[in-house]
Amino acid sequence: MNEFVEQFLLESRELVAQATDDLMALEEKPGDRERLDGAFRAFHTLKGAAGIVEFAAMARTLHAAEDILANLRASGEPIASVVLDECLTCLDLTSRWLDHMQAGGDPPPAADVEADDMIARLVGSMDADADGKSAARAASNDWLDRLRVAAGDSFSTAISAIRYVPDPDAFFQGSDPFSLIASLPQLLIVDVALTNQTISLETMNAFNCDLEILALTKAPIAEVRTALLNVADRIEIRQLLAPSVKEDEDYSTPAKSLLEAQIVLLRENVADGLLGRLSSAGRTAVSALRYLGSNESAGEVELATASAQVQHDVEPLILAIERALKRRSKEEVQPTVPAAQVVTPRALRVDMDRIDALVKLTGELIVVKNALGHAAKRIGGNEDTAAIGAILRDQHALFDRLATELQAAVLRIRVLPLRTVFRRFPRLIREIAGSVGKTVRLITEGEDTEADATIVDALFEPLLHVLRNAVDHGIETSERRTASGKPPMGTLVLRGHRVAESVRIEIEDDGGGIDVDRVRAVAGAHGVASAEALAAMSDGEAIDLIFAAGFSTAAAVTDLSGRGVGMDSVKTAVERLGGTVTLQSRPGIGTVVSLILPFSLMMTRVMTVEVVGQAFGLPLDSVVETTIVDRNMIVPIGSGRAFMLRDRTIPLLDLADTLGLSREGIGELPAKVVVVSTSGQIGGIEVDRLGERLDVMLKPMEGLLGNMRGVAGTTLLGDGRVLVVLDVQEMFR
Amino acid sequence: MTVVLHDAHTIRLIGACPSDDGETLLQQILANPMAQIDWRGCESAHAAVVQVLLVSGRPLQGPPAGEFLQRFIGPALARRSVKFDLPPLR
Repeated sequence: MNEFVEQFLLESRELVAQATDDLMALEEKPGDRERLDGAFRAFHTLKGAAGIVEFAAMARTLHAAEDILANLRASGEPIASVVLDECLTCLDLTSRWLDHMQAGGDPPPAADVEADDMIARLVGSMDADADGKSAARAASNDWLDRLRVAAGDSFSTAISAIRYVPDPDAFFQGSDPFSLIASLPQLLIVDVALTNQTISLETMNAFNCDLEILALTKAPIAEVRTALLNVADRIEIRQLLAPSVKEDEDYSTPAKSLLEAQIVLLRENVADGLLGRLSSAGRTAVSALRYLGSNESAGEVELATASAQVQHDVEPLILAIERALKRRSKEEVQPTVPAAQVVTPRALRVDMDRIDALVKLTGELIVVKNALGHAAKRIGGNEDTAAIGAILRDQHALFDRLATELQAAVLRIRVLPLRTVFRRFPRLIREIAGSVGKTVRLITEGEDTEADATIVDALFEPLLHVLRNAVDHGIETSERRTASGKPPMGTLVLRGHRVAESVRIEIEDDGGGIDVDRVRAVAGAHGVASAEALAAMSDGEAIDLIFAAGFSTAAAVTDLSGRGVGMDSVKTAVERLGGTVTLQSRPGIGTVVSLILPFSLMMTRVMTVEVVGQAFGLPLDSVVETTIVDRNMIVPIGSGRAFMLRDRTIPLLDLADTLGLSREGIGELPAKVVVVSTSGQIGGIEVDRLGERLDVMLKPMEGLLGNMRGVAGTTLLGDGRVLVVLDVQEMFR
Repeated sequence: MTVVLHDAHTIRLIGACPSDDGETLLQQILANPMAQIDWRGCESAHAAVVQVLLVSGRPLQGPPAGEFLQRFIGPALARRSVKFDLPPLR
C-alpha cells in the first residue's frame, strides 16, 4: 500500500468518525447549525480525499450526501430522520470500503454498484422528506421508468442505464454533454428532459445547462463508467441485466485444506483420546473458518464440537465441517468486512507531545551512551577499577530509569481513548432496538479512558455482542416496563474506567435481569452441565453458565441473537486479550457485565520454567508462589493428582503431560511446583526447573494460530529462542 | 452562421452548431414564433442548441444530417414535442 493511500485511509477514518459524531448529535438536536456545518465539512473533505486517490464511487456517493447537507444548510430546516439515517448508512458504506482498501489496497470491485444504490437511497430519502418540494429530485426517482417507456422493446436488451445531469455551468466550461453520451459504446437510446419543467423560451437562459440526459447501452457498467469518468459525480448508473458473475476463487486454500485435513483426522479409527481429538479438530476448524471470514460456519462448528463431545461421536463434527466447506465453495464472496476486520490499522495518529517526550528520552540515552564510552576508555587507561565500577553502576541506574521511561512513553503512543470504539455504538443500538421494537437509549461514560490500540480495536465485537444481548434479552418491551413501574425507554450505560493496570468496561442495563431458573433449565437442556451439578450451583455460578460454550437462552431465534454463538464468544474474545468477564444480575433491576482488560498488551511479566529441556513462560500475575513438594505428598485423585499445601488440597498438573511431551521416568526428587491462581481457583503445575522473572513484549498468536487455546503468546528470549507463554487459565479448564 | 433565418417561416440549422448557436437560435425562435425549424443540413449540434430545441417543443423538419442527431436526439426530441404537434405550414 502506498503512503498516499495510507494517509487517505487514516484521514478518511477520522472524517467518518467526525461526521458520525456530528450526525448523531444532530439526531438529538436536529436544528443544531454547528453540527450540521461540521457534518457538511466532514463529508466535503471526505469527498475531496476520495477524489485524490481516484476512488470515484466513494466521491460520487459522498457528493450526493454532501448535496443533501448543503441543501439543508441553505434551507435552514432541521434534518429529517430518514435523511439522517441514509447519511449514516452512507458513512457505514464508506467505512466498509475503507476496510476493504485497508485489507487489499484497492477499492472494492462492487463499490460502483453499491454507490449507485446508496445515491438512489440518499436522493430517495430527500424525496420522502421533501414530499415533492424539490421537483428535480422528486422526478429523479422515476428516470428508469421514463427510460423504459421511451425505449420500448429495446429496454430488455440494455445492460446499463445512465442518468446524467450535467453541471449547470457545463456550457460555460466549454463541454458538450452530448459528445460524452455519443462516446458511449453500444448506445441504444438517448432521452433528454429538462431538470426544471417551468422553463420556457421566454424565461430560459441559453447558456445555462438545465438538461437531464438519460441513456441506455448494451455496454457493461464498468465500460460506461470509464467513458464518463470525468463527470462521475454527475451521473447515476444502474445495471439492468446482470452479467454472469464469475465465482471468486480467491479464498485462502491452505485454510480450506486444513478443514479437509480435520475431517480425515476425525475419520481415523483411533479409540483413545477421542475427546481431545474432537476438541482440537473443532478448534482448528473454527480458527480456519474465522480466518476465512465464515463466522456463521464457525459458530456452527463450535456447537457441533460441543455436541460431538457430549455424544462421544465424531459424526456431528464431520458433518458440520463438511457443511461449512460446501457453503464456503458456494458462498458468493462478499466484498465486505470479515477479512478486512482482521487487519489492524498500520498507521496511528499520535499527539505531538508524546513524540516530543520520546525525542527527549532519546537525547538522555545518548548522554548515557557517551558516559559509558568514557568509562570504557578509562578501563583501558588502567584506572582504579573500583571508581570505574561506581561510574558504571551510576550509569546503569540511569540507563535503567531511562529504559523504563522509554517503555512507558512508547506504550503511551500505542494507546487510544475508548471513544474510538464507544462512538460506534449509539446508532447501532438505536438500530438494534428498532429492529426488536424496543426503545433504548445508550449513555456512554469515560470515553476518554485509554487503552492499548490493539485492545481498543479488538473490543468492538465483544462489546457489540454484550450490548446486543442487553437490548435483545435484558431490556423489556415498553409495555412490560411500564407495567413494572419503569420508564418505557430502557437505558444502557457503557462505561469505561481505568483501575490500576487494567481497564474496566461495564455494560449496565436496567432490564429484567437474568432469570436464573431459566438459565438452569436451558443449561440442563443443552447439556452444558449435569442436573446434579446444576442443583449444587449457587445462583451466581448458575448465571456464569451463560458464558459456557453452546449456551443460548434466546426463547425465539431473533435476527440478533440465537445464532448459536453466545456469550461464550465474548468470554473467549476477552480472554484472548488477557482479560476477564464477570456478570452481576439483579432480578427486575438489571444486569451489569464487566470486562476487565489489561491496559497494554505489550508488556507482560512472565516467569520461565523448564520442562523436558524446553522453556515455557507463565504469566507472573497468575503465579502465587513456587514450592517444592515431596513425591509422597502427591496423591492421585480420580484421574488427576493433588497435593496438600497449608491444609489445602490443590490439584496438580504435570506440565510435560499437559503439553504432550514425554519424560523419561519420574525421578525420586521432590517435585518443583508453581502454584497459580486463575479465576479465583488455585492449582499447581509441576515443572522440571524454575527459571527467572522477565519483562517481555508478548506477541499474540496471529492468523491461523490466532484462535489457538492454551497459549497466551510468544516472545523472544535474550539468546534468541522463542519462549511460548502459556495461558494458565486454559490449562485448568 | 450556422443558424440561418431562411425566410419568415423557416430557421435552418446548418453544419456543426456550436454552443453559442443556442442563444442565436433562441433569439431567432423568439423573433419568429411561427417559424419551423429545419435541421436537415445539421451535422452536429451542441447540447445548448438541443436544449433550446427541447424547450421550444417545436417539430423539426428532418431528418438531420448527423448520425448521432438522427439516431438518438431526433427521436428524443420527437417524444418531447408531442404536445406541440402542429401541422407543418407548408
